Amino acid sequence: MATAADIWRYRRLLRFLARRSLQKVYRRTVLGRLWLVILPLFPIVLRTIVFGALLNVPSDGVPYILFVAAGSLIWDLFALGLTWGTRALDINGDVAELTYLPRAIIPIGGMAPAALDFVFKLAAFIIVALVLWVLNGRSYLTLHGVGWTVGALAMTWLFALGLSFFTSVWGEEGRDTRILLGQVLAIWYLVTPVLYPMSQMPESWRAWAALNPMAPIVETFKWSVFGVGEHDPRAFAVSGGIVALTLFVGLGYFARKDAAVNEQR
Amino acid sequence: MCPKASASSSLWGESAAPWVLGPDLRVGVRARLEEIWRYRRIIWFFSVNAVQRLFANTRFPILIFTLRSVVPIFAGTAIFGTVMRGPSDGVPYFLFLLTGTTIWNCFDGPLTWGTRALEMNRQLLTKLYLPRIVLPAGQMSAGLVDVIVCSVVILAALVYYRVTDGVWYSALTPRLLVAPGVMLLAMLFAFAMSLWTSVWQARARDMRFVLGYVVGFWYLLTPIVYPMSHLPPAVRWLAAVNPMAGPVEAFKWALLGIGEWPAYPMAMSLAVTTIVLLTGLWYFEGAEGEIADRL
Repeated sequence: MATAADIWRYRRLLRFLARRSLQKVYRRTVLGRLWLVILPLFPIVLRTIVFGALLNVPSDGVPYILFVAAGSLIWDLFALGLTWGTRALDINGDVAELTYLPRAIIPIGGMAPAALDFVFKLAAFIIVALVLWVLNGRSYLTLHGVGWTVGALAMTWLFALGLSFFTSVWGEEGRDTRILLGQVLAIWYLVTPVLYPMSQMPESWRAWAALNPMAPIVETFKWSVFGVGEHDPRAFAVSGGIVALTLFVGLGYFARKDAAVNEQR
Repeated sequence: MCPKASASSSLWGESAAPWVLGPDLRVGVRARLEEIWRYRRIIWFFSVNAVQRLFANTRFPILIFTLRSVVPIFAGTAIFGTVMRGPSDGVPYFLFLLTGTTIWNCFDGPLTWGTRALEMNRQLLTKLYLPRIVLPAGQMSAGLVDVIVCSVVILAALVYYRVTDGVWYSALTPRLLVAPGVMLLAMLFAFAMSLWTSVWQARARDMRFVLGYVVGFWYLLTPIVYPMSHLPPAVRWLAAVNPMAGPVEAFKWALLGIGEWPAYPMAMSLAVTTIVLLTGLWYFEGAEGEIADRL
């Protein structure tokens, strides 16, 4: 596809777009860039306290903080990736008016804050795992096949990107999409085994979980890291198919629709 | 003689006297309160404007904002009510969470928007003189859209439960009159707190992150998702000390008739609100001068 080739040719711009999106986070704050390190940790702490300590959600034998750190790692990659991807055209759209660039590169670069958030969450995850190893004398990590881990993460990123191609175009016409997206993600988050293992999912929700492409991805990720949980390669492959489809259709949609929207300006 | 504002009606074109908007140089908390009263029309204008700006640039504002208020309550009911079978003092969990969340939103929304008031409007502030207090007071209204939506949903829910369960969970007793009073108290407390937080936010945007999580924790410490009666005795004192526990329990007591009238927490709320309001006005006045320079 011509667009994909174009994006590769302009890949240097990704850095610029990334920096612009990141600045939106910490601009005009006292702590500045430090917030980029602190903010990723807040959800992990909050979820551990609420769902781990207060509500005692079971977690398949893994200490809850580690369990939810892993879940947050992959889920927030998706949720933040999608949120920032949606905002990307809004934040960086003006660059396209100054110089030529393949517009599809904007959501890709705009997802950078999600990637950085992932890096710091990963650091936190490793530290927590190490601390628990020292305290409890056992490592909860059993890397069952790094291929699955990396595959799950890559699929998450690509799924977020594919969906962003749609939502960023819809988001150009007003704030409705962003607000709705927040609500959709909040519900989606509940039917995905992030805070709890798949084994704990209430029976009535299982039907929804079957429709949820993120469920097998998240559960496979946790299985490959902890060695507990359900592992369903077939469901994972189906999710993979959905991700690939979203990505291709999304790119095409973006290329056509985005040009049309900008014709009107 | 300090320049003072002349007849307020002239701004709206009703008389020929020129409108002079000058700083009220008298100092003191009482002066600030009088200032609020005198500029009430501008505050009203800003309130309307804040809501308009909230709705601007959205194609389906009513749908979006209804969903925004209601979806978290459904989500909360699913987790805490259905899955975890949380206690709810004899009324359906959805209604329990809905009323608790509504009164909480009377506090949360205005506080969040009031905090951002000075920072959001900095362009206006640096261009013309405006009694600064108008901004947090006016901006709060953007947070009240949520409350209006939730109130409508409460009515709808009461009707729904009348139809399905055959029970009116609310009753038309004099107790109901307490409900709006308590909502106003929550809003007043939010205003009082925003006098402090808006100044901090104007100085450093960090405040927004911090405030978000503080309010999140505060929400958990307040008996919204669970009834106050279910707090373990060791933690009861927290409820007594929490200034929002009073209004939340009182609102549910007034509207649904559950629980008992929270005497001590309400007294605590009134006391804390008054103190924070008076000290807040003093603090805000002190910071007023430098805000435009710092923004």
